[in-house]
Amino acid sequence: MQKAIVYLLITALLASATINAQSYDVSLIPESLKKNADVVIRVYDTEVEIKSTSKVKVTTKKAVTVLNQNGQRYAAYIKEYSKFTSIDNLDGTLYDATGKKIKSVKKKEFSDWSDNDQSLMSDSRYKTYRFSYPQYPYTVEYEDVVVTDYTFFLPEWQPIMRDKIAVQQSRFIVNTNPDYVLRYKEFNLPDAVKKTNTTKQNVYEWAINNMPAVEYEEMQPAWDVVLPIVLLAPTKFELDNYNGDMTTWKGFGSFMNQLYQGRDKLPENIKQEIQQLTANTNDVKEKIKQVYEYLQKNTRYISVQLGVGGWQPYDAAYVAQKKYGDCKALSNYAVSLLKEAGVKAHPVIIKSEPGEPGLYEDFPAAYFNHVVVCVPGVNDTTWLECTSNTLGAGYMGISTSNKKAVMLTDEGGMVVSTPHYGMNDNLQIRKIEALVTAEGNVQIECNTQYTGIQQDNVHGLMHGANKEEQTKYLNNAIGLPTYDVLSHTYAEQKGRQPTVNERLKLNAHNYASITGKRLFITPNLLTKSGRKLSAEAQRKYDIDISLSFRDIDTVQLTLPQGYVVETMPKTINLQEKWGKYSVTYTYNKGILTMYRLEERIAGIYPPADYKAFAKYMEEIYKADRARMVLVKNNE
Amino acid sequence: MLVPLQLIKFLLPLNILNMPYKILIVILLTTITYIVKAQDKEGPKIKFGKITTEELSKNSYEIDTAAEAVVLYDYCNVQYEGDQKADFNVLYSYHMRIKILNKNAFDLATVSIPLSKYSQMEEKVKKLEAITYNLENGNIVESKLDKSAIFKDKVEKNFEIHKFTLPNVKEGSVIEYVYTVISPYSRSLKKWAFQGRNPTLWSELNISIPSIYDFLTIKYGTHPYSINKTTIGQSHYNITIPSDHAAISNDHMNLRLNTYEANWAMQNLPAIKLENYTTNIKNHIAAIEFQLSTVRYPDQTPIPVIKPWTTACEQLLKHEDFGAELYQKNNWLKDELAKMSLPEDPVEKAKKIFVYVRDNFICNDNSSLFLSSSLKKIYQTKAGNVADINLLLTAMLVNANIEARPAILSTKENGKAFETQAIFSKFNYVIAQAIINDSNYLLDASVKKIGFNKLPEKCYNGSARSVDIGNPYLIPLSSEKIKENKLTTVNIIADSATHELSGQFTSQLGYYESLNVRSEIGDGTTEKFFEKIKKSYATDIDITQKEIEHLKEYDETAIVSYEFKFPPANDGIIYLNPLFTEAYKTNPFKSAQRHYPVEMPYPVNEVFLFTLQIPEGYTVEEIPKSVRIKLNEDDEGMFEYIIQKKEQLIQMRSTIRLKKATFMPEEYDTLRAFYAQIVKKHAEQIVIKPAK
Repeated sequence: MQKAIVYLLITALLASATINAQSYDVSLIPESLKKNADVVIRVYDTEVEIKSTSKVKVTTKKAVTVLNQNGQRYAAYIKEYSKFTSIDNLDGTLYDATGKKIKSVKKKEFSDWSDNDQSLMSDSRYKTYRFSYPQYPYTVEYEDVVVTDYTFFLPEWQPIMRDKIAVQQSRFIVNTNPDYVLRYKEFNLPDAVKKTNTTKQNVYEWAINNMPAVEYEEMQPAWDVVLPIVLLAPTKFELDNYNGDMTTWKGFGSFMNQLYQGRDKLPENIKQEIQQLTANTNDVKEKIKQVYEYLQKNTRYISVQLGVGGWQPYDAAYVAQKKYGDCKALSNYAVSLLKEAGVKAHPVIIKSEPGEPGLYEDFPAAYFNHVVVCVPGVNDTTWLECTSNTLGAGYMGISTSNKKAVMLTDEGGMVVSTPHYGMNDNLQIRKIEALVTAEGNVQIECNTQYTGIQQDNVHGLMHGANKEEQTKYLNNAIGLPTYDVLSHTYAEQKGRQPTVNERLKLNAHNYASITGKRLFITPNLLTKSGRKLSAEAQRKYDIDISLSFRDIDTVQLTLPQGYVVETMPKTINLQEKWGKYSVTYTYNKGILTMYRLEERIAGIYPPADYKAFAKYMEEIYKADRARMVLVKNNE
Repeated sequence: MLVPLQLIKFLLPLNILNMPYKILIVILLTTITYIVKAQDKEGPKIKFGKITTEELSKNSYEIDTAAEAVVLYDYCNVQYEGDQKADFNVLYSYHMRIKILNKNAFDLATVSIPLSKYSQMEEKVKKLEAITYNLENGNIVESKLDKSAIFKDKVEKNFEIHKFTLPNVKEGSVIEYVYTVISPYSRSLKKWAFQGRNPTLWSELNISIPSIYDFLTIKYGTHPYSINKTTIGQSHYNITIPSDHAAISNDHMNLRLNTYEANWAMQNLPAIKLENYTTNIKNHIAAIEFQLSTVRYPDQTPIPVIKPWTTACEQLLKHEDFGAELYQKNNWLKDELAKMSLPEDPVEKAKKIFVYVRDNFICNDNSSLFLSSSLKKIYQTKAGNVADINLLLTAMLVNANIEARPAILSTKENGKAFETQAIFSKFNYVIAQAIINDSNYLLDASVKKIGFNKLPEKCYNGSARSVDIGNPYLIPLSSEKIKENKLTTVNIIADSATHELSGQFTSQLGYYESLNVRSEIGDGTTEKFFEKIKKSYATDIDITQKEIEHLKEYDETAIVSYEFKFPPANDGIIYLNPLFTEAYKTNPFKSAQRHYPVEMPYPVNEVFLFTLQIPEGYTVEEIPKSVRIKLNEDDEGMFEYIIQKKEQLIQMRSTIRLKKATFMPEEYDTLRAFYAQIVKKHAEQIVIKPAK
């Protein structure tokens, strides 16, 4: 008996010794990893077991050493789950700097919340826990096992999310049956995958060791463009008893078609309304416009995401009755209405996110979070954003334009490109006439025409804010010392190339500064661009300019009588591959005319260009704020 | 019923706070009757499901022509009923009718009902019905809410939200819904806000409380009441008293009790709009809040719930989750203190203990009046809420033989607390108070990098209550108590050969600005801080000799200093704004109008000194004029810009001083104009030229 107890004790001790083999003593972190880092990921191992097309088990162990206060936010555990997911074996442990265990928590101590802020209802939830410890550095470790009932999505591996995070060791291991074909795509990895295939299973392994923290650089590409990532995608897969094959986009689309099938039946009364509405024209574009405006007038956006409902639309009859739906339901409804009007339209599954490519064409996967509608034409395809009550037919905003997406056709999926808005589309043409009084006040009349992406904000202001909120916005947005917006009106021409005309009248006090007999003014009243970028000695990343635009300003300032020019702002002409800037001034009989042009060309420019780019931006910054000095004519 | 004379004084609304906050407390007693006032108006006769064509066709409302929606009717009836557990339930029956004028108000058609779901104390929703009305071809079309479209969002273990959205909502629709929340919380009544983010034509609360409970009512806002009526009534309550044994049947009780009946209504309330420089909008929204003050069971001595401050503080100090451990003999704490090798001098000793707690404990919840665990546990885990940390600090001081006690307050985010009434639910913060050699020290160790005897700005919300046995007194903590002084000096010399300007910049920051700089820099270097300063100059400058003095001396104010160099002016003329980066470039008061008082965090006192050594061979072409501007007749603020040239030296002094931090809406124009003048003056230039 005694012996047995001793034996048990020894095994227990041995067991705990093996468990603690991983030491989180901070002194074991190489110095190179502490540089520029708020946290060091000590270990981040994810093991994915794809057991079948409807069962995936993901085991994760993650330990993070928090070096300072800024790193605190990485000490929290947060994981989403849904109806198709369960989180098991969840626990967390806190260690001090020496690696001594301070506290452990079990699954029931993690709090559990619904993640339902954006939706009327959704079944997504999350579990969360946060350790707090006053003395840096400290280490938190979390382990969990997540089991999912689908393979529509597969986990991805991105050990470093952003700057200030170093990684000591991270592994990503995927186990599959020998006959399962796993598709993967690697980005920015130091080492490619290691594959081991046996008769029992295929094992894929990726690893990163001792990778120092990166630093943020202004105007750099998004983090997931420059950091190591492995994406996984299925071949054959399941989602809530629907089956598909994602090897091709066609297959992806065929699967989506199953979810949309039979959901386009309209009630009789709606059919009649559409028939009547579109009876008076044979022009397809006109019909699209009529139907789209009907949709905008009669429905509103309400999100409900339950189970497969995250991907499957409510049927058209439901929307017809309730007069609301989410992006899928409203798009499906629009397609149904257009069908009734004799126009063949298609849902397009898309990733709504500004400045992103949308998808990798050579790697079909479920990247998406949104649905729009496309009516293909021989020369002029029409795109419809069905969740908006205000956009014109044919226009996509900044989040959905200029990217690839998947259109659902009868034959399956097809990669399509959404409209691209270039420099000639994104205009801001501004004309200002202003009168400067002898007291230094200025009365401004400003007419601005905005088009394309440059009209997105004003469109939002026009429709999303009431008159009072608009005034409040304008009162804060314009960079003059003290001013009052006297009147502001907006007119818009909707359509595939939308235009908003803004007319502003404002009075600004003390616009010109008067000191004795001198008058100081900044002729560029409203279009101030440029910025002071940080001088980076060693630029690492590309410069990412996502939007092309052209701004043209003409300012005519009538100055008080009796002054002569002492100092004129300089004429500037800049031209680089990413843009053009010029500003000229002429002064004639008390009237100053400023003409300003700025063009920007979207693109990815190499790090070597950064110095010149920063200089270009700073020169614009200064030129836009250039001052003119006038002095009283004594004679 | 006759009103006993000595009680009449309770009827007088008690103005419990300093102006400008209009918050009134009235004690509701069933023994007192109000005479129905003549000005009480009749409310609109609105019945659920009965709508007029007029309501649907009306598309603009005088009260606010820019409104996106107008609340036509917002009503709640509060009734008590006996429950199955020897207690009462409270029934809140809501009725809401809203006119949707614009698509931006569609979100009002999605309704959330929050429900507390603690076991045995679960709130429930009953009788939920909702209708959308539209006018189609002149006919009223009703769309009813489908019961299947009501979702239960189990947000967290003890909290649920029932959500629904109305069908068929368009611009011009009227939406209407009713529901009843049954709450087992009979001793705490929900707050009623008359005012919301949309204009409201009629808002009414009807309430009937059995005479077992006396509630204090706390009234917020300045909007007049259209109905303000209280009467005495009577009601029957059936209460079931469950038996302990299955064999014995439950007992039933039929109580006939006096009731306190009140009816409050307001009409034509404007929408709430948040303005800058508002401490807490809650202080300004028209609302009624309730606090249980006394429980009177039939034929028993009344049990006071809200007690005089003396009794309340005594109880607080005995409370297990507050003061019970503070003055007990505490050996482990004494042992810990012994290890700290504390100095003899009591102030130094207190300081050392304070610094130890501040630097070694982490505050994970900065809104709490009570302990989350025992002092020993807190000491071991080195983490806790603000009460944990500052009560531990108090206990440590006491055990180190320093006279100390806690003080409680309500932070700005939490709204106003009441000075006269010991309502603990209105307090959310604990600080420590040490008394050494007749001097008072207020300490808050929950805030990183804060100095000894300094409180964070959020504590300056009126006053704190010193939790002292026998004499719990008020510690005044108004914004006006903060002395935030800033002194900036710039000295410039111009090189006569190169025309290059170089100078020294030194700014002694106010305490709270120092605190902000400290937390901005954190544990890192000052590199980014100075990079920002460099960028804030209009022209290219070189910054050297960068230093922040007292960055780590948290009791002191910080001094930022550096030397700078401007490139030479090309054409020989030098234009110079003497205030550089310190100038007010835009007016902080942007809105043309103000609906609430301006509440600045503290009075302003900013002095800027400038000297310029005119380079040889240059003459002064122009300097701004000196001015002195008074804020108002009462001399509550002034701006001074004094500049003079003496031989080869230009000297300038700019002073901005405001004696108070709070300004009434009617003072707004004056304040805005005052700042406009500062902005104007601060833009003026000095011009120097090469002598011909």
